[in-house]
Amino acid sequence: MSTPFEEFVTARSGALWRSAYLLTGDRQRAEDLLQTALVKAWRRWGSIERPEAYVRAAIATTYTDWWRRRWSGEVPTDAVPDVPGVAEHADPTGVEVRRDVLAALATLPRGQRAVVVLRYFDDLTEQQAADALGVSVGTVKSQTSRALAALRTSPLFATEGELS
Amino acid sequence: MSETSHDDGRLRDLLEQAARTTPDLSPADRSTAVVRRGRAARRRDRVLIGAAALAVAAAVAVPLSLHGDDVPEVATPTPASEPVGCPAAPADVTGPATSADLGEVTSVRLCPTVGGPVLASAVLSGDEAAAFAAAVRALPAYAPEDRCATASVAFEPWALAIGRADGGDVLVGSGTRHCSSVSIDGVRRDAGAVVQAFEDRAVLEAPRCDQAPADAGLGPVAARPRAGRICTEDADVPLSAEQTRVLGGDFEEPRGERRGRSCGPAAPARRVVLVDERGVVTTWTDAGCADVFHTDGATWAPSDAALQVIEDALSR
Repeated sequence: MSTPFEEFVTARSGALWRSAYLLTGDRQRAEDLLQTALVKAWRRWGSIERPEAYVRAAIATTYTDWWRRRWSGEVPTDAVPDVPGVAEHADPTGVEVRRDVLAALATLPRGQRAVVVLRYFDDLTEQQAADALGVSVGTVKSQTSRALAALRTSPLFATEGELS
Repeated sequence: MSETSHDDGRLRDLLEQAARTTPDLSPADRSTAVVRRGRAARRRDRVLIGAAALAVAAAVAVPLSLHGDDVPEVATPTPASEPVGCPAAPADVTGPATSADLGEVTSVRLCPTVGGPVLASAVLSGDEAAAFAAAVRALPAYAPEDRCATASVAFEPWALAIGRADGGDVLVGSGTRHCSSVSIDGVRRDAGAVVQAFEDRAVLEAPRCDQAPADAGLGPVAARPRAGRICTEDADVPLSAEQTRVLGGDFEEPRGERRGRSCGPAAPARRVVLVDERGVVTTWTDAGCADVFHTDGATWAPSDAALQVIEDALSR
């Protein structure tokens, strides 16, 4: 018989993995990031009221914890997305979009990238994103604004003239 | 519809498309892996608590015996032998990919590399060393990504000395973390994933002030240091996890210029030694009169919160 934790992983870890994938741009690191967050949840499972919110927050904070970033604000040039999985080869257009989106996200500082994923993929409110990251709502707003401004310079986002 | 709504909708759609892929691991396998990692972490915590109690007792009963690095090592319940040491000289990992058969791993140690940064002492032993070996063996065979054909890969050297139950040891390392591999037990594994498996388990401590580099030409520290110390001529104060977190907050975002305090020549020169998640040690040095710290190629004007931490540490 499955434990509640196993049931949670079965039901929700696919979606959580996708969030981690958008954060890391790498399938293997996404898995490692998700597992690290799940370990934190597993260790205090009995005291967590809202497991999904807890794990999302753990993913976001672990991600901002892990990823090194230069003091001067440099963006690593090698942090570009990995190759697609086998299933994606059947959809070359989807592969190109993924590559371009992940490349655009890779240009963002960690905090901004996390805010973008939490707000626009996980669909969290500004308050929920702030809670997940342990920052103020004002910080979420400013990070979002800066991230969108940066993304607007990406040709991908300007393709249909909607972010330009 | 407003432009903002268009922006939001477009961004949501693109993110959805980019994430339209599936993980390699099934939920059942993931659940099993998580529980295994959780149990290993729980064992490690228990061991560390026990080791801390033993250390207090030992400090009273026997003189300290220091060897090699002057940083406490991760204690294990059944240390079959001394943890493996590093080579006498920094490892040159710029050559061909290293190859090693792990056997039964009893300890793993982070080692200096030619051209690499100064590192804190970090070692795994016992269950954690075994867990590291299991994690490495579970990595899929390395497959170079398409981008590796043209990517400019950063020089990020690392080396791990691995001790085995048969008394032998091997060195594994690479000049990069991306687009490179090391051969473990005859199978090529992603170099970055191998060293990450170590870092996920390592417990890091900042080196004592007299062992820290005086003026680190080591590059910036990570945004989130894991450990730190405050040093003056008369003080050597380890930072708590919370204090380290506060200082790390300064590195989240680039900070603007800050007017320094004025002070006289008697002001004590201060150093802040920080260790990041990769074990890299960076020493920030205060000229003694400006509340501005320097390391090679970078300047740090601590926030008020960070300055408070430094002053609190020194006033203990």
